[in-house]
Amino acid sequence: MTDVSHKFDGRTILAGLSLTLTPGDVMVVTGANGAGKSTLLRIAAGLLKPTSGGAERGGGMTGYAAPDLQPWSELSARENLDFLARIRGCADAGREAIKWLEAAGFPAVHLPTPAATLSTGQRQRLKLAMAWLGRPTLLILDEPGSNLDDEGRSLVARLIGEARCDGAVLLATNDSAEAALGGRHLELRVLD
Amino acid sequence: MSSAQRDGNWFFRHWWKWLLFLGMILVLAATFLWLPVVQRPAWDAATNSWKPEPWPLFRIMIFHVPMSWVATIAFLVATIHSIQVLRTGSRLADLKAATASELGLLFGIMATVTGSIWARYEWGSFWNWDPRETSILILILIYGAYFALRSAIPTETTRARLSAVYAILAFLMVPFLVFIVPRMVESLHPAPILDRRGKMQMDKELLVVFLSSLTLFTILFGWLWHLKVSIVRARDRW
Amino acid sequence: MSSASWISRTLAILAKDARAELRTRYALNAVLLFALSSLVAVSMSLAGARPGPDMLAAFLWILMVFAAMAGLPRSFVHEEERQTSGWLKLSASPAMVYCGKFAFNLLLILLVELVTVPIFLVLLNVTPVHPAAFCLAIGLGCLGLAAAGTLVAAIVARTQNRGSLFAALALPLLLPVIVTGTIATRESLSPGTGAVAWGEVRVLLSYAVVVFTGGLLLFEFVWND
Repeated sequence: MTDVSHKFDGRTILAGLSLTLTPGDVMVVTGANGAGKSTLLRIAAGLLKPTSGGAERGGGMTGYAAPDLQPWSELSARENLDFLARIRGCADAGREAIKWLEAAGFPAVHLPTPAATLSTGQRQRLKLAMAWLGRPTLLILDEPGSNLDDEGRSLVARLIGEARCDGAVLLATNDSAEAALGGRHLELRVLD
Repeated sequence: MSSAQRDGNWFFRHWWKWLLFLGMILVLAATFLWLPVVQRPAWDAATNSWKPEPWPLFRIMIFHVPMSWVATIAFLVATIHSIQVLRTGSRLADLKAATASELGLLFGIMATVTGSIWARYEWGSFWNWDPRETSILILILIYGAYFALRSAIPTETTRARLSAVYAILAFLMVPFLVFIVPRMVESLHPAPILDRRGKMQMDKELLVVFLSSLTLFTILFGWLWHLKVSIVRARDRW
Repeated sequence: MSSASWISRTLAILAKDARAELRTRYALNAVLLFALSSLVAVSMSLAGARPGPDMLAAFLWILMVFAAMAGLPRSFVHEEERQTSGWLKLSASPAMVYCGKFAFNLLLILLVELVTVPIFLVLLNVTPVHPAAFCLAIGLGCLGLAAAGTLVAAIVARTQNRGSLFAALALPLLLPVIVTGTIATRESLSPGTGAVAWGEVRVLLSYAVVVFTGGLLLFEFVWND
């Protein structure tokens, strides 16, 4: 990502920011509310085009889990994973993700209950599994530990450990325990 | 620099605007004072033959046709700049497209009103679902929808892109409207101006005034368009 | 990417939408009930009068278009409201999303017509003189409705007052379908050779092709930021 600036409604959120992630990197982004953590992550994922500058992603998939991204509420956890695996063109990955979720203490994975009825913590687990599906080379996590209990938090740590074997991780958090998982740190300040 | 000098410069820098103003007045005066009233053939039942009759209604045509012409040109200009928005993401192209659409809407409404007045006296009612009436009405609906869309998108870049997509999609409808609408109802409109139906011919004087009006209206559109774009750029300082 | 994989991924989007729709029946119920109740309302208020083919055709097409308006915006508005569109943006190409959503919308409209048109024929006591032209006009009309509706739905989903703008944006673009479809249906209901109807059917087909292709090219600009 080179020289990224982003403005929204005339307010500068990011200015002249450059960063490069190589496989094995875990970069933690911290900063006050409104400092542009989520904006940076959305730009890195390719969901948002910056006002100037650009983000380049090497080959491979991008996995993204954030508060503004939800599972399809009418589908069950398993159907969500299956569908995502099919549109990503890796049907085996769906089965793998289900196993991963089972191991992650998610008993409801085989139940036909729609995702809308899952508890917030379970939904967060499902979102992490959806982001991790197919082993993306860049995993972007926005506040992954929110709404999770201790067991869930250790799950996040395990996920990051697994993901750094295959690629890079970009993590936004204000939780000090989570921030300690990172090898590199980036602190954003509120501009203007 | 004295103010008299500046005023003089101002006068000469804007000479073409004075020319436009003068031209418009001349066209107006010529239409109502100088042009002889057009004679057109009317069926005379008493003698069973075509006889010429005076037809003062022709005057509205000198303003009505250029207005609908400008509305059409504005639509074209808006489409071209909309394509530019999608190709380059240029803010200026978006402003140009939106301004052209605004003027297109204005001239479209004026053309519809003058056309309706004509229709009332020529065909007996204000609205007749004539193909060209219908097409310009659809054009006005599309412009209206375009502005409704613009006002519903707060983010500038998204607004530019989405309204450009809509404008291009609307332009794809043009061949269908040209092809389909005339088959819906028989046309009441006079045939295109330079090739008039029946024996009514365009006299040389009438042709000169009409073409001047067409040219002046086109220049007026270009000026208004440029002016509005400059005002917005100066206001927002870019 | 092989074309087989492209098709199977596109079909996955269609299947996902169909499954979610069958579970909630949100769009299907809204569209079907709208179509049926307006059919009943009109045939009751006609009270046995026999309108001519031109009135019947106009009524059928207004019914079809407005019923489609009740269901089409949902395809994208729902993804945006429930914050699920990000997954699709990250995992599938814009062309796949457009084609998948188009296929779902087409299926939805065709299903509704399959129910409402026979009821229309029975309630208003109509027999098409040229059944093939009649069916083809409605089928191709649905194709055009789905093509234009899908792109407009994608546009509306990104605006502030999602959904309420849909009719205002879609109607001017759909006028060619409404006019041509009405003429085709009128001719297929009237005695004669039906030559006019077949000519209009060709126009409906070209409209659907032009709008679908245009939508495919333009969709990327609507979908991605």
